Amino acid sequence: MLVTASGPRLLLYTRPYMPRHIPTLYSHPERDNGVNENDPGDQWSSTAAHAPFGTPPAMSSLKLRAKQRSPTAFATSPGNALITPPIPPPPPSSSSRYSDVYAQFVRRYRSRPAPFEDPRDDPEVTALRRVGQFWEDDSDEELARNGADFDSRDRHSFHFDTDNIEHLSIEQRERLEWQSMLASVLDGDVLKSEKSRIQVALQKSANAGNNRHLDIWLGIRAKLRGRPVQEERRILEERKLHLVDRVVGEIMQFRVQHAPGFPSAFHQVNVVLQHLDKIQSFYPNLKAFHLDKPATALPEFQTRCDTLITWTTILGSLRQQLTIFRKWTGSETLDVTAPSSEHGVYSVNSLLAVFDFY
Amino acid sequence: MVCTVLIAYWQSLIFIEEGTSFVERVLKEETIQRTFEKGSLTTVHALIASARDTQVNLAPMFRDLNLPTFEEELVQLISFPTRLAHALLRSRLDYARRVTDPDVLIIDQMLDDFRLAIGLACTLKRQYEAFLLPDPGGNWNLPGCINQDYDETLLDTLKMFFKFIHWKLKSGTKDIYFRETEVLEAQWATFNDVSMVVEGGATLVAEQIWFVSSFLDRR
Repeated sequence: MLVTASGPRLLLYTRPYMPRHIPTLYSHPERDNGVNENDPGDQWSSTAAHAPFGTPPAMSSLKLRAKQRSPTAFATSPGNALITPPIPPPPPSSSSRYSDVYAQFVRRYRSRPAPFEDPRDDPEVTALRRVGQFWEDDSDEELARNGADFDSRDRHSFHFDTDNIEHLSIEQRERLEWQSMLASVLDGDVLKSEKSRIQVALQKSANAGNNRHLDIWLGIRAKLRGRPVQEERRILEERKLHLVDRVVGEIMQFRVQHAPGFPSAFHQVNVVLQHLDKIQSFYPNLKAFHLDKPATALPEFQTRCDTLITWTTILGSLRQQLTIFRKWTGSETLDVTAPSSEHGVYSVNSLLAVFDFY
Repeated sequence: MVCTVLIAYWQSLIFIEEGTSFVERVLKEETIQRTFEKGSLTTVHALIASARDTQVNLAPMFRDLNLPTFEEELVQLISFPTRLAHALLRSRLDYARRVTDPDVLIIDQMLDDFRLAIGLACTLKRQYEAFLLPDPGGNWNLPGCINQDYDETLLDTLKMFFKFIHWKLKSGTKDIYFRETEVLEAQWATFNDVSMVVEGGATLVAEQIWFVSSFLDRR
């Protein structure tokens, strides 16, 4: 399974860099097969020489990304040349130069394995890492073995590719692998892994921050009530147990009573909203409230609360406006033509002061 | 000379004493009137609009919670500005009826006052009548809050307004002698307002303009 995931990926990384080395593309899956014996190698059969290019649709974005990098650009662009100074674009025939290049590459690569050692959960990154380890294992093998080993490998590859893979040296293959690694670096996979590492770290610190906020909140609560924090925590839990569910139920059942014995609707609504304020004050924020009592996060509850709050706000401001008009006119009934009996109180200046908020 | 005439006019309006009504205080204080105009057309207007939006949009929840509507407060709040504008019109009218053979300066001043009062009355009526329109869902249904003889007073004021224009044209002052049509045209916005807002306003405007222009023709 793992191999099927990494196989095409490897191909994708390598593909754009070697249009003139098409046969070598198959060396990677071939080695995949070599390492993981149980992987069916049928898809790499000689008749399907170009099959790897029929990459699964899922990889199309990668493919696209890889395509943007033309082989010539890789070989000639100064930026890339800086990254790979010891490795000139490989002329396919001059195999003698490869051993030197390969040694350099091994030195370079083995001296800094760091980017692939970070443990990551990101599947893409782990896939990449597997590629790296795979390559490393191979390189170890390569270093340990000698020419005889190459022969067996060549024979193995010959089995799969009858055209021109047999004349590829191990150095060439190693170079292709190295190119795939470089491609992944250039594509920003290493950066991505760094980013996810930073994200994890940030998340941890955010959690720590939340806990700190919670502690501060509880500490201030305790301080304001002159209790030790532990006691405050205990009292808080007790009151939560006693009140929260009851008030939530009260709000869900709430209906204004218009019977003669009851206080005004405004008063009834305000009492309920005071209760809501009370239980919400048991939590450091609304999110914690909703998490603790999932029923309060339901739209039914929220709409009820919103409606009650809106109603009391609007009614309050309407009444306030009427009070202003009453003060302004000096008449309880807002009768603008009635002679003012308390004119002395409402001098011109006080009238203007009343309306200053406009 | 000019100053004494104007001062006399203002003094006749200003009588801050025990027992003056609110309208009289508004009339004599330009700043209060401006405050009223701004307040009734912006703050109170926005407040009523949000009350209506709430009452209409949250109507199902209002029913669930058995919440009363804002009608009681709204009726007072809507009727107050129009009542004040109405009273302002009446006061202007009462004062104008007592004026006989006024000076040109006083005519100009009164034309300005009338234009303002008529404009405010028309604007308020237009805005607050729009508020009273019921919504299709039947969740907004307020009783009429605008006085019955609001329109009548408005038309009377307009008649008086034309009377002043007539007086002004009749005065034969040199500086308006060749600009009589301009005097009429300057008030075109007011004529339009009344025609649009008050039933019978358009007819009255047509009649009066015909009257004034025929007077000008006859000269």
